[in-house]
Amino acid sequence: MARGSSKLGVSAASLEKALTAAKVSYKIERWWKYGQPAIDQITGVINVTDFAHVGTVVQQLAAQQGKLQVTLEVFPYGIINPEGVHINFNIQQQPGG
Amino acid sequence: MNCQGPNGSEFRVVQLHPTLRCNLKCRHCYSSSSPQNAETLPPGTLTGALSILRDEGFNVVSVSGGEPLLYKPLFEVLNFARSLGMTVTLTTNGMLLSKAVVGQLAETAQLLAISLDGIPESHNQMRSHPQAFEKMSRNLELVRNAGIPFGFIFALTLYNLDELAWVAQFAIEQGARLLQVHPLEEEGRASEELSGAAPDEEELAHAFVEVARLQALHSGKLAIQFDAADRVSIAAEPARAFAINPVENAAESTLGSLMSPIVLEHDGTLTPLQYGVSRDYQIANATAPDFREQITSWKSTGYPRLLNLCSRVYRQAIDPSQYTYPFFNWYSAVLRASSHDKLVQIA
Repeated sequence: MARGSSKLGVSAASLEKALTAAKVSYKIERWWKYGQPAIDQITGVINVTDFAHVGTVVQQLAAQQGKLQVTLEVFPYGIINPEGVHINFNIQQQPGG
Repeated sequence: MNCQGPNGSEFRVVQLHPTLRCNLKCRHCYSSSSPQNAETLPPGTLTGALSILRDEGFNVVSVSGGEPLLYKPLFEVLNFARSLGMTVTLTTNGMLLSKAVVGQLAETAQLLAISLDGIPESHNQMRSHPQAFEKMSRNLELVRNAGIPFGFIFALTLYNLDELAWVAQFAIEQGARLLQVHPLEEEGRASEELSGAAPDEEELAHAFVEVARLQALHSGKLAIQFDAADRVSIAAEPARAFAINPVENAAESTLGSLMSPIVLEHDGTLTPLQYGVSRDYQIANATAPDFREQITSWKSTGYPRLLNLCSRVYRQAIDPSQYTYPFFNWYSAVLRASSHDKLVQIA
């Protein structure tokens, strides 16, 4: 069987040049294990340990509404004595946006 | 101290394999799941483990398998994870999605990942089922209508990179937001049926170029993720590959701040990083009454040993005399190294 790459027209000789060009536009930020979807592309988690800043962070995320669809969930952790707050957010393009 | 690891510091991931039962017998399956395989974990074991792992700082639950939709108490477990404030993702072959199931997923899962291994003919061949593609694609409308964010996971082999452009176009047409390219790992059934089919590092380099091209072409419509490690990046940040010294207060730290991802396997074994990592490195077993104590003990004993293993993998990965191309499958390298240690001990 032939390599998949051999059907793409990039020769082994030109691979180095192609890699250099590709690295300009694409960077591997994270690498996920088999069967684990790249959750960072869809949603985010912010851990806020200073309670005074929770409102500000939520306001900043909520301000994206209108430009993007933002879903927020706020969970305190460390119950009974809360140590911080997890803010889960999910950002989607507005339909047609 | 919050160790970064390959997923970054904000996502502390527990991958669950509640069952090895599957409606398919895929050629590339790393867990050798099949319709004949009935091994499952009781839901009480899973929820009990999740409570403890939440306390240990984990915030993402990712369910895989086997086919998770064949696990009868699935939504009991997912709802429990949601009640703990955890982000939930689920990976499925997509063939068993019904309106009722999708309705429940809309309430519990923030991201659905569906396996897609190439053009329909290739997908069906990999899945050992003549209608796998047709049945999966028929169900995508249900997912779209329910508004569940979804993506496709493509298993890259030595032979199918040329099909990635078709997969990306299909993903966009179906309304997917994510396309994830993951190198085949020759583990489980794949080690028998697809021996020699994992992409070598030359092919990974070609795949990176193709991913970059497709990402530029489909920018704003589809996020394309390439699951290979970049040697230059990890050389600059060894913590991303756990090539670090143990933190001084490991026993007092949460497990999630030390290690992510972790995997809860079908038999209750909790392993670091990868399904099938040698049991010499296992963290604990969720079926044992002292699960929490086992985790605490591992922080002092198993954690330094695992970092030692990761440091060895790291040194080899960044040694210029050992490689030609810039990308490699880090998880597979760690898994192989853990098994190699076992073989050396036996010898």
